[in-house]
Amino acid sequence: MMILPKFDYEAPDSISTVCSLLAQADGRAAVMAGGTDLVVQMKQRTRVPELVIGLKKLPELYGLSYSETEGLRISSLVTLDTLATSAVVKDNFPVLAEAASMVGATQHQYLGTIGGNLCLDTRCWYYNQSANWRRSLTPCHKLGGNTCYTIKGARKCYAVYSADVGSVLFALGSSIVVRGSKREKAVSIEEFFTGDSIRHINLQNDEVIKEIIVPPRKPGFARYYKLRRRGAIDFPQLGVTLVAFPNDNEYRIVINAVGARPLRFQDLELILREDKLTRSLVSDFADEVVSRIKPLANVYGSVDYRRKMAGLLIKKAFTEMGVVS
Amino acid sequence: MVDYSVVGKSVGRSDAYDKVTGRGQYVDDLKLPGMLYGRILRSPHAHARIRNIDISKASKLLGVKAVITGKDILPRKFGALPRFADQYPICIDKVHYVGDEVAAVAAVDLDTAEEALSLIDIEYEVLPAVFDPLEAMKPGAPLVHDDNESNVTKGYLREFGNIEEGFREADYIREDTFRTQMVAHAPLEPHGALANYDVATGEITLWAPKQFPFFNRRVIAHLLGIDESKVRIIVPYVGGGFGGKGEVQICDFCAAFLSMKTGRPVKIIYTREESLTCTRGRHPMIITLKTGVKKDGTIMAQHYKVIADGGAYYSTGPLAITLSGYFAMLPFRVPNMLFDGYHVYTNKQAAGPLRGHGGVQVRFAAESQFDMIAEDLGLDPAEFRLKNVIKANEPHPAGLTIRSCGLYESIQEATKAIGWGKRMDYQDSGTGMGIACSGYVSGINMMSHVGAGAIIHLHRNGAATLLVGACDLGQGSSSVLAQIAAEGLGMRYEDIRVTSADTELTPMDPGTFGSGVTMRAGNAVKMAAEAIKEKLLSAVAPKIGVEKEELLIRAEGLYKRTNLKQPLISLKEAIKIYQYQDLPMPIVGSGFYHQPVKESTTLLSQEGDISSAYSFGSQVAVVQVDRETGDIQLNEVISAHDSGFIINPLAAEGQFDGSIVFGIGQALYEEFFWDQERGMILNPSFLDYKVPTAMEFPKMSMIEIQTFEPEGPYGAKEAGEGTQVFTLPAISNAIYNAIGVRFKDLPITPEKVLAALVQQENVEEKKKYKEVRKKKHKEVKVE
Amino acid sequence: MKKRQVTLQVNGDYYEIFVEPRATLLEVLRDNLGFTGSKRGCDTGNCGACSVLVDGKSTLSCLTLAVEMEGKKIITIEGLAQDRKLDPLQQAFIDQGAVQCGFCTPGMIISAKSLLNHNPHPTEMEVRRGLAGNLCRCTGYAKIVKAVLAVAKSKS
Repeated sequence: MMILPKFDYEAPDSISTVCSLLAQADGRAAVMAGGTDLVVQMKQRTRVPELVIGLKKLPELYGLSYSETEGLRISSLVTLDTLATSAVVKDNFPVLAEAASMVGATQHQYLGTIGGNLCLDTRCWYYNQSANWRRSLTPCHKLGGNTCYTIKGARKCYAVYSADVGSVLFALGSSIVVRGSKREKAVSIEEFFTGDSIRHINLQNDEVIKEIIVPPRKPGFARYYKLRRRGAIDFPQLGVTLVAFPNDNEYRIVINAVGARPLRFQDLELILREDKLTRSLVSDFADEVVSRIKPLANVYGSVDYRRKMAGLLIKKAFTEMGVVS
Repeated sequence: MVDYSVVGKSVGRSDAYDKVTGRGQYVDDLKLPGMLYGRILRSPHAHARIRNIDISKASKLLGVKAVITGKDILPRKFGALPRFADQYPICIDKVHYVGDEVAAVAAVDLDTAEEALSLIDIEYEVLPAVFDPLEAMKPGAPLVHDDNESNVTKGYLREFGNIEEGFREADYIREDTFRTQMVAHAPLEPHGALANYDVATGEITLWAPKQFPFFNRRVIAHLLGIDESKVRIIVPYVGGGFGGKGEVQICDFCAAFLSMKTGRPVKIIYTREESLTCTRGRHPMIITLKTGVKKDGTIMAQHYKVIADGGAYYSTGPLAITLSGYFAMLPFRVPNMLFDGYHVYTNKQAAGPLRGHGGVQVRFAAESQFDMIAEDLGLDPAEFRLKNVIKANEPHPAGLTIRSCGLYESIQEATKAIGWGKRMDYQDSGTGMGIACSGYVSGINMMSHVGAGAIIHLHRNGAATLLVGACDLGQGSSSVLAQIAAEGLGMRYEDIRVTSADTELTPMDPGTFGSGVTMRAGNAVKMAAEAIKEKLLSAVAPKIGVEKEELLIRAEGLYKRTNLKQPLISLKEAIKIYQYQDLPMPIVGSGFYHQPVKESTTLLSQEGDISSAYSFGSQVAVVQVDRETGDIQLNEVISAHDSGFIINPLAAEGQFDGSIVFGIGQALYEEFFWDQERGMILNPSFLDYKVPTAMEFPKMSMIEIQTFEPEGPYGAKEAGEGTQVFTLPAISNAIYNAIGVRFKDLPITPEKVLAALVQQENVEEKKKYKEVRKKKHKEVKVE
Repeated sequence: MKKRQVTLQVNGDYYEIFVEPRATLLEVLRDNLGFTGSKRGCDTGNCGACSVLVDGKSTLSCLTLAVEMEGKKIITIEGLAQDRKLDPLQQAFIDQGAVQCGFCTPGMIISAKSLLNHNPHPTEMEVRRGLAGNLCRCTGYAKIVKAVLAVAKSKS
């Protein structure tokens, strides 16, 4: 048995209480939605909050609605299963439903939430291990030390962000409504991810995610591809999202599970706008992306394979969209 | 075909109700008053001397009742067999792999126990470690065990026929090297134990999921320094074993020892991490195989050189290597053979017995190479195999006695069912078909004194209790043995209650290993049933005026053989007649069965049969390989297996399915990743150690090849271990048919497929590859 | 950290327990309430052996805090049979030979129940997906999937 560490627990019924508790705790508290990430980390002692703030009792965190003006509004406690099965999501953003249906297995989708997936902590072979396993190693950067076991001598952390839904939300250009003890603000998802493997999201100690907003849909095509060894349970070795608005000649490609945040190369996307979209253009683009990304050997999956598959999945995405010649 | 009442029928398992309702008790479900919880402290280093251990802080922690280290135990080693004793239950002066046990605590709750572990201070002197078996074999390599001269320990050298002449007579020879990986048993139930020391009597009772409790009892007693009669092992429901719950586990010893020290029950359950990485795994093997054949495909000679990476302790290493040697002799005729195997120590988790013990590895090599040879000679792989099959009652080159063998038929049936003709069309198309065969022991007999006992009590009310020492790990042995008892007694299956694997109550049994329970215990049960019938009928016949030989027992009563329509008397009345002659009740019958092989036959010192019967089979696998992604899809797997007479078809099917998916796991998904510098396993969890899920299993079907094994009860042989053996090469051969890439190391992953395809595209490689395929020279060495 | 009183509805009955916030539902079910049917296979949500129904959905009890389960309808494997009669899934598992060592069985049946609660007529692929979070090392899954499909068919 892996016993959890001791912690205080509160389950407020108002979001302002959540924020004031967070503010008081000043970094020593953690919010808990589904718990599929937090509880495991606590069992492994990679996270040991003094206070766990349960979010399940907040009625305002379960909303899900779509309108042509505002877009898709998903409150942070909406479960991955709801995302995967609700008509509101499937009709308007099937790529989101698809990504949600691929997370873990059924049980993870029942427990997991969109907020939790978005904030999924970065991962690494040497970080996501039990306290006993890590006992023989001095703490790495992510654990407050100053060493890295993935890249010898590395001065920073290279743990990987790999949230399926989080990366699709990024491709969809979502915004995140963050509620703090003083105010509520909307942050573009672009700004939400820091690019740092340790403090990987832009959330202050007193802030909690209230809602995620996906802009109103436009005619186009979107797919998410998840590369994993088994048909369930596994995190992605690599993810590729294509969100295309051909009428606007806009193509967004987001790479998941490489680096500390979802990766998009807008300068390379310009290649796709140069000319009529052809297979060879897509191929050039894919090659460029592949040359830019640097998967590391700190999660499951060979580096070469993940890089190769990134190129392949990009091409596959465009083929499925209908780029033929 | 005899029509039996109970055997041969797919009756429901006797324990299924308990299991579907959650009533079944496994070791972690057991609780005793005053029970303490134990945890084990493990070495963080792969190789180090223990310079000092300070347990003072841990001992003083409130709630801690005992702390033990290597200083507290008797300096006695143990092993899978006494001659392989190389492991202290708690390390005394040295640790040999990351995870090696250095201390244990018992406390009032797990929290306290865990905290106590963190308060134990150990000073290690880290030593250079060796992780690669080839490196470990070199002179000057760090010695894993100081009392050895080298890391190369017991090997197995076996020659029969004349190997040089064999190769001389061959028209074609090729040599290849194959590598298999360590895989874990990964049963869903982690290892664990609950021990209770009775202060008044000095007796220890141990509840634990064990496979050979009678052997374990001896070892535990020896390690604790008490008499064997003072140790009782009771096996509750077992959540899977696969060979991994056979040996004494350190948690067994520590729970027992801590219980002795504290006078309270102690329970220790491993975390999944401990279960995966601090117990045993399958021997990784490097197999260099040289085979010589006639141009018509007749096998003339095989020379095996096998290096088994044994990890930090012997376990069954020498046995695994020897078994590999025997599995080289099955299922095809090899008239001249030289088997040269080595077991090597390295500073990693030890390897031990795992389903298919030694057979899986060598047959992967042999069955893969057969396909390569067949292709080189322009022969069909199925035809090649048909040419070389072993047949029943023919002299075997190594002197094995094969009394039943359905191998030939299994190849025919499997190829017919799959439509083997399509294979030629498939070549390099991305879809492929491959075949492989297996031969396996049905009750391995690797030493003397491995007989099994059974006792049946027939009660006044017509129900019976069957006592057997054999353990049901989930494979269904208790149900099968109950069927055999019911058939033998002429009673209903529902009226047999089974008590198994309690060293105090049940007769001795060597254990659930080597696919032996049906053969050993099954025969013992049959004998016990006969003994009861003899007693009952002898007492009853004269009283009802019928000759004993004329009587037949069926569930409803006693019948005259000549009139099965009308019972003479009911079974209960018959038992009453017996009882009223003042004969002791219940009616007790016992049986004891030892396989008829040479006395003191031991694999390691003498030649001879390693089993009284062998199962055989073939499998054809159809795969689809995506050349772009490397993805391997298993479309279908058809197996044909000769298990003799199958006592419970439904249960056997379940075992076939399970063993095939187990094999698929090793073929395509499972492996450990290592921190090469420190010898730590990077994926000690079910997240990253990829046991197949419900998304991964293929369409599977099984064709039963009916034979009759004279030695097996009702003609039965093993079902569920041999079927794992042919799975790995069948898949590998199918992949070759699909994309023309031969994999010689496992697992075969999309990564490896893509990398190989890229290499194949390389023009130089393509040319060489074409040349090799056409070559018909005498000797070709290919790596 | 301090223990608090929590009322749980398990298998139709109400239990008042006194637990720390860190107690998982699995611990409470097994150790406090004696429902040992739900198993601990990995304790980190990767094997499904701990699955119980919470409001009809298969839930990893090893990752769930007991304090958050108040007001929920919890059903463990012990609560599936009604009036001494087995649930059709339990019976089908027996009849189809889908039980071997039995350790995965409670969680597997719970996940199957959850699946059929939400999708009474699943395709084979949907059954596989619905059970994919429950590992089995003994059966190779084939008979388990067959048992679930048999129950689904018998209800249509």
